Amino acid sequence: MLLDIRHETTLQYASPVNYSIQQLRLTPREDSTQRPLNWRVQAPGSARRSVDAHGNIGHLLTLDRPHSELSIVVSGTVRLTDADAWMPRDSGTLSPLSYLAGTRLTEADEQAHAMAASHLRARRDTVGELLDLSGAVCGAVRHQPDCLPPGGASTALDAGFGCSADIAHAFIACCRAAGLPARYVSGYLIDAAGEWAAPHAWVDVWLASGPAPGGEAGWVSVDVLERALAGHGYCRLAVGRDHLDACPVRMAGGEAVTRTLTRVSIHTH
Amino acid sequence: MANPSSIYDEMNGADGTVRAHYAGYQKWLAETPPERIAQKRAEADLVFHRVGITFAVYGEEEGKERLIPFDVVPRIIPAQEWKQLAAGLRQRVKALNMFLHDVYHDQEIIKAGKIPAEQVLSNSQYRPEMQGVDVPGGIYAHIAGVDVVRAGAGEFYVLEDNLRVPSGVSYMLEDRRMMMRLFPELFSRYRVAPVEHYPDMLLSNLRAVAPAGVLDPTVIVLTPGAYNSAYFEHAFLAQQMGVELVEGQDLFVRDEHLYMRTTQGPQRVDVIYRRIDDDFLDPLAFRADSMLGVPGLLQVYRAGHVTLANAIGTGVADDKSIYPYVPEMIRFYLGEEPLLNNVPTYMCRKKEDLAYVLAHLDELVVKETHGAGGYGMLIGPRASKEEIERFRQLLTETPERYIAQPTLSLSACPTFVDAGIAPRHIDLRPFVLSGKDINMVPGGLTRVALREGSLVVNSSQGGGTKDTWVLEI
Repeated sequence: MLLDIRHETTLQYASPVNYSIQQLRLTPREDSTQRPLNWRVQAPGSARRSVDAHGNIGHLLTLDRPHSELSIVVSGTVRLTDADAWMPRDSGTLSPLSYLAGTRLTEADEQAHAMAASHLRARRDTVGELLDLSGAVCGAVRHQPDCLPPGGASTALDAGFGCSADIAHAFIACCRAAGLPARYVSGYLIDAAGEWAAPHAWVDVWLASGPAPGGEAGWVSVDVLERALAGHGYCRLAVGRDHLDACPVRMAGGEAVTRTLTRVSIHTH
Repeated sequence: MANPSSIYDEMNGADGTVRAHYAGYQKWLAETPPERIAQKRAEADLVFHRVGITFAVYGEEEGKERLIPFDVVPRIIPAQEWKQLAAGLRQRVKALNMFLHDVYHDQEIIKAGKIPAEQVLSNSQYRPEMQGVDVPGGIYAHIAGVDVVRAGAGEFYVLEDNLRVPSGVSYMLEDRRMMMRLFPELFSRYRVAPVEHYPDMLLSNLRAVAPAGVLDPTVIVLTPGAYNSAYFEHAFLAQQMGVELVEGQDLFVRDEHLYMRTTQGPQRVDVIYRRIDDDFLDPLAFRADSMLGVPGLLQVYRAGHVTLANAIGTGVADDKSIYPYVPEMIRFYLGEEPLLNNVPTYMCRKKEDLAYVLAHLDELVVKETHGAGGYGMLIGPRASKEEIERFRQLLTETPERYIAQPTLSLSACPTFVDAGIAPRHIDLRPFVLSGKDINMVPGGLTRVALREGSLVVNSSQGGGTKDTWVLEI
């Protein structure tokens, strides 16, 4: 499937600033499931492209003249492969083991350890176990749209509700507690009719025996919120240890942004 | 626990005679009226207060600053002994830098099965951001503060390799300045190797690791600010090197280069001697709430447009869980036998080691693998029953967070205390600089545990300092 994506972000500042800087991860990754074509970033100032250690394509935007609003338009075409898209393979330089260490947002608390112990114990049909764990995480953390920035796994587990990013964080914390490398994925979820796309977060889990028992080791992509494998209809922007590594637009904590508007439009052909 | 009579005394031999290299000092001490020394000690206190060499103690009342006590009895190291020690330090730091390069590139030492992959790659100090990044000269730990102690019959052991932002070198320099001012006559009796050129050595070392193609690099010192416990040292080193002392807010990134705001407009920065931890360096890459770093710095660094000293991610080599493997690194990368001893270490993540540690808690020192500064450790022989039980629980819950070592009988050096002169335990932190070559000034910072019998020399735990004399002949 060929998919045209146009992602507009508008940042509004409380008062004019002389300088701003953002890290964008708005260009789809290149892996076995997808291939970006003709990608471009339109924004004032300078946009420097780079590929990070996770294999994400990023742009560092800097603007050093007074402004009170910033508009970023990223657009292009991506070719999505439908076959086995829930088993992404990439030529990353990082060992899956580097997705085992906890981060502040994915620290496993007692609840995460307990959930990991009760849902990932059997290790017989592991894909089934991951879906089972998805159900348990969604049961423990009620989904609440638009609660960015994410507070992290234990905050969400304590509160009993959280955004999709924190549901992913809670799931990652459980996987890592059970010794399974897990990484955060940010991207778009595309509806079945191919009419709309929404920013979304899901998780890749590294299974030593592979997606099918006795198979080769690899990543399995799980949409925790949907309690399903993330196969058809997902476009992958970036991966990382947590939301901060992979979020589409990252700003420094001190940025006085009062409003962020995001609009994603797509066209399939 | 060490039998007091078995403690190695730096000045006095076991048979009661004075060691040859202390004979001159001993004689001077006998000739000098005690009132004169008392007066000099008071003078030292006064001067240190005036220049403001203080440090903040974490966990104490906010904003409370304390003077690090200075002891006027020098720690003297004979030339031959230093020569051996220096060779061992060179070897060790060279291997540690090769390890860091390897970890962030081909990971040969892991492939060879010398260190378990998980130990390295799942370590919270391993920085994926550094994977595949080339740094000038392959140097990661430009400044290493290696903590060395003398134990048993006088042999040296490395306690830890501090490869992140080791501090204390300003005390080494100030202690020497003070000794020369108070007792100039001693320096005519002894040929003491100079240390005053450390800032010059540091600056030329930093210039040598500038990004390729930069002929006249701009070097800066990056400090977290005046509230940091080592701020005095940051300001001191910047001033001694003649470079700018800046905070994160003085810097910005434009077009993948780093600039410093100056009254003459933006100026390119090439080399940063940073005294900020990895976590706080770049809020766009690490802790998002950091107000101390520079947003975008990581990408400038990865692009090779600025050098950070030390590099990002050096913590994976000085982590206490990696420490036991340093001798193996020396054999693997250099094909040599280690010249300096490692302290035997029990890794509590291993079942059999944990069992031993739990059964011998009252004899061992237990440390957090990621801890520093003497916080969160258990010294078995000195601990109360409650402390031991608390650590037993911690070890049972999260064994992977701890290592344990036998209590070493640290050597002692005569030190002025209320009752006169008495032996107190000491360690040594030499500062090893790596750039084009490996350099160090002879000696380092000698820390002394001022409380009788105490083995904790950290300044944050009531330790003091001494001038360290390496003899030239």
